[in-house]
Parts: sequence; C-alpha cells; structure tokens
Amino acid sequence: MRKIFNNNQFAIVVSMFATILIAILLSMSFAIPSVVYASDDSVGEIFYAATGSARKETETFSYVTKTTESYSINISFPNYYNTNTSLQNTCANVAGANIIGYFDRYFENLIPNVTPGAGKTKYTYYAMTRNMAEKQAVINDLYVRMQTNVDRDGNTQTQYKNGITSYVQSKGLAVSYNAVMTNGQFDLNKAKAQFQAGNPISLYMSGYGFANITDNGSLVTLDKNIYDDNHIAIAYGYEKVDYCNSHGGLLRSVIYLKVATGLQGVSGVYVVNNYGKLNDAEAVCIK
Amino acid sequence: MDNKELYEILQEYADDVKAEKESAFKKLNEQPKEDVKQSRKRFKPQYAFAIAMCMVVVVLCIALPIALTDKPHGYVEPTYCSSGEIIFGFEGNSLADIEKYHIDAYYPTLVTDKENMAVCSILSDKDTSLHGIQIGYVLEEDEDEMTFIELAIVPKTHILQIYEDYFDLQEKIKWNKYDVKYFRALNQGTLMYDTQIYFTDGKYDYFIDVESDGEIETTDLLNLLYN
Repeated sequence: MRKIFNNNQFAIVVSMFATILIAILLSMSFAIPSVVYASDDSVGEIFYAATGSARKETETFSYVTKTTESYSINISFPNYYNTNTSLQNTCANVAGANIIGYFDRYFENLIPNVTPGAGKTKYTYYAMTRNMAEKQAVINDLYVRMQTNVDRDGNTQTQYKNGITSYVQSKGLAVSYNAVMTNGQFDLNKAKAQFQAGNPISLYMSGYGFANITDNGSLVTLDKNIYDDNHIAIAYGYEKVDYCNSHGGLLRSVIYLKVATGLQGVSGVYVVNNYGKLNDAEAVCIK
Repeated sequence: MDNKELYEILQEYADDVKAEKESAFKKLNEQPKEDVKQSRKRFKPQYAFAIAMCMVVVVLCIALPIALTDKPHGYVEPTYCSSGEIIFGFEGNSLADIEKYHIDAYYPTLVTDKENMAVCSILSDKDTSLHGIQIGYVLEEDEDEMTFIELAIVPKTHILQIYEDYFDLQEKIKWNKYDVKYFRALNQGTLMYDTQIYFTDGKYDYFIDVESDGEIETTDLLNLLYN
C-alpha cells in the first residue's frame, strides 16, 4: 500500500480531527455571547431598536460604610410598554409615551381621557393596565410621528425628539431638550439640576443593564439583566452611593439611575458606567 | 560442436539462470518483511490512543447529558422564549376577549370596572403563536391605597424568560390544593410592596406580580383573585 502521510503528518491530522470534533461538540453545549450593537446610518446616527433579549449576570462587592445622596422627580413614574402586535422596534415610541404620561399629570390634555395617577401623600402613576387602550394610542401615534422603521429598524435620536416635539406641539404645548453629558460622560451635576426642575432624562444606550440591588449592610449584590442592543429608557431620579472600607477610604462610587425601562416585566436601576455605552442623555421639559 | 560441449554450455546457462532466480527470490523474500515493518509503524500506540480519546469524548458528550437528566420517560423539553421573542397584545378589558383562544386554565374571578382591567395575549414575535395570556388589574381603595396585579398564565410547554425567576422563589405556603411559592419585599424606590407568586396546576404555570401600598398576605391576594 502506498504511504500517503509520514508519521508526523498522520499525528497532526489526528490531532486536528480531534480538536475540530471537540470544538463542534462544545459549541453545541455553550452559547457564546456576542456583543453586537445595533447599526448606525451613513451619517453616524444610531438606530435604537431594542430586541429585549437579556442575559443574567450577578455582581457583588463588599464595603464597611457608605454615604448616600439621592433625588427623584417623583416616587413613581409611568412604565408603559407596547401592546400592539403589529408594531415592531417600539422602544423609542414607548420611551416617548412615558415622557408624555409623566407630564400628563400637569397637562391633562396630553393623553385625552386619562388620569395618569393619583395620591394625596404621594403621587403614584397607575400601571399600564389602567386605560391600556388610551396609553397604547399614544405609542401608536408616536410610532408614526417618529417615522419608526421607515429608514431602518427603530429610530434615531433625532427622529425620537422630532416625534415627541410634534406630539407635544399638537397639544398646544412646547418642549425643550437639555443635554446632561460633558465630554461624552454622564454629568451628575447637570442631571441633578434637571431632576430638581422636574424634568425626566432620556438615556440613549448601546449595550445596557438593569439591576436589582440587594444590600445586607456589608455586601452589595447586583442582579442584572444585560442587553446588547440599542435602547432608550427614561431616568427619573438618581442615587449616588460612596462605598468605603474600614478606614473610610473610598472603595467605589456608584451612580444608580431610577428608570422606566420600557420593557414589560423588567424593572431595576441603570448603573452608570457599569455595562455598555451611554451615547447621550437629555432632559425633556414640556411647558 | 559435440554433445559434450553443448552440455557444458547449457549447464553454464542453467547455473546463471539459477543464480539470478535465487537473487530475485532473495529480493522478493525481503520485500514483505519491510512492508510488515512499515505497517507496524503506522499503528503505533500513540495513534491508537488519540483515536480512542476522540471516541471517548464523542461517547461522553452524547451519553452524559442523557444519563444525568432525571426527566421522566416521554418528557418533552419546554420551548424557551427570551424576553425579546415575545410580544404582548392588548385583547380587551374582560376575560370574554380571550375566549377565542380556548384556554382551559384556572381563571381568576376578580372583576373590576373595565378601565381598571386589561387582558393581553402573549405571542411569539416570529409567528404570533400563543405563548400565554396576561390579565391585569388596578385596584384603588383610595388615592393612597393602590394595588396593581398582573397574572400571567403560561402553558407548561413554554418557559418565558421574564418569568423564569419565579420558579426559584423561596417562601412556600399551601393554598387550596396548590403548592404556592412567593416573595414579598418593600421596594425602597416606590415605597410599595412588591410580591411575586407562583403556582402550577400541572398544565399551566401561574405567575402573579403585585405592587401594593399596603402589605398583603399571599393567601389574601390569592383569595382576592379567586374569591
């Protein structure tokens, strides 16, 4: 019989075969997470079109003492979600509806025939359940005004703002936007000023996480839902916590933003600079 | 040439031929020995070991997952749906709006006025096949005493990512004939109590999410839904 391989070649072939076989089998067992942020257009504008597919992560860290400062424009905030199955990529529309729902407390005709919340000692915004059809109508309206999915899947930041502006102006009101970023970073001082003025903040995110926090007095656990797409959520308050060691030295300083996620069944805080990229953050004021 | 001379010539030729024949046979006899030697080289133990290891890996990868699962015979793995693979569709304000789906589940009997109740279908975002239903309530004792309830009913053929944490709830009670799991805590952000409840009737999973200004016992919440 004619020899095809010499001994070394034969050993290499067997090793390669075994390696390929093992790699194939392992790939069937483990899903390799991919980080693919949604695309931008030819002029660099990002399209926000959250898919809502999450993976779980847990982060823990210890501390001895902590100091906290916080502020919220209200104890609760609208957290609407899309219930129209014919609409896709609605995160910008839902974020806009949450802004409109919040200001409907002050300008009753923003959402016709809807009382957004109630309360004497504290004002609580009703769940999406109450007046669901009327709230969905706002999302439907913004879907058209924002030209969702016309150019590409989702909306750009410009389309999102144009849609809100168009809606608000149709109700005889005016809207303004104020950036709370400095040199590409979230600026807490600017955000504080906007929150204290009663203005919620739109967060434009590429890769993000919403965390539920457990703090037993010395150990903080962040149970996070992590997403690798582009999304717009609304922040309505913050909590800045400085975690220190036994000597009072700063271990880490964390900014938690209270958010309306816009995703059904998903709650939690947005932890600044924890995962993904915050592309921009703008306060919205309706007058 | 006489006969003697001819014999000598022939004898000489025969001797030459014999010598070549022996020489040829000698080469022929040696050739198989080399072949055998080369064949033995190809099947060195390390190659056999590598092939055996490959076979072991293949067998383990196939057999271990099967051997280590304790699923009963005939068990069908539920379809897992990530939160991005489902959509909620508003159907109306009463249970009558989902009769068309013919779901023979354990429905709540709680009824409120229409603006405070909403019924949604939970659909696949790919083919809009039904993955469950959601029934929501807003209850308002007074302006400072609100309760928001969302009950999702999901067939056991599906596991929805947004509800999978409910399976791990730690607190347990017995309510009617059901083994109920739950968790309740005061949400420091909203100053409302968040309660999660899970039970199953074997055919459907029932996931209940409650936000309430007052602390409400799990049994009372279930009695409120199924009074």
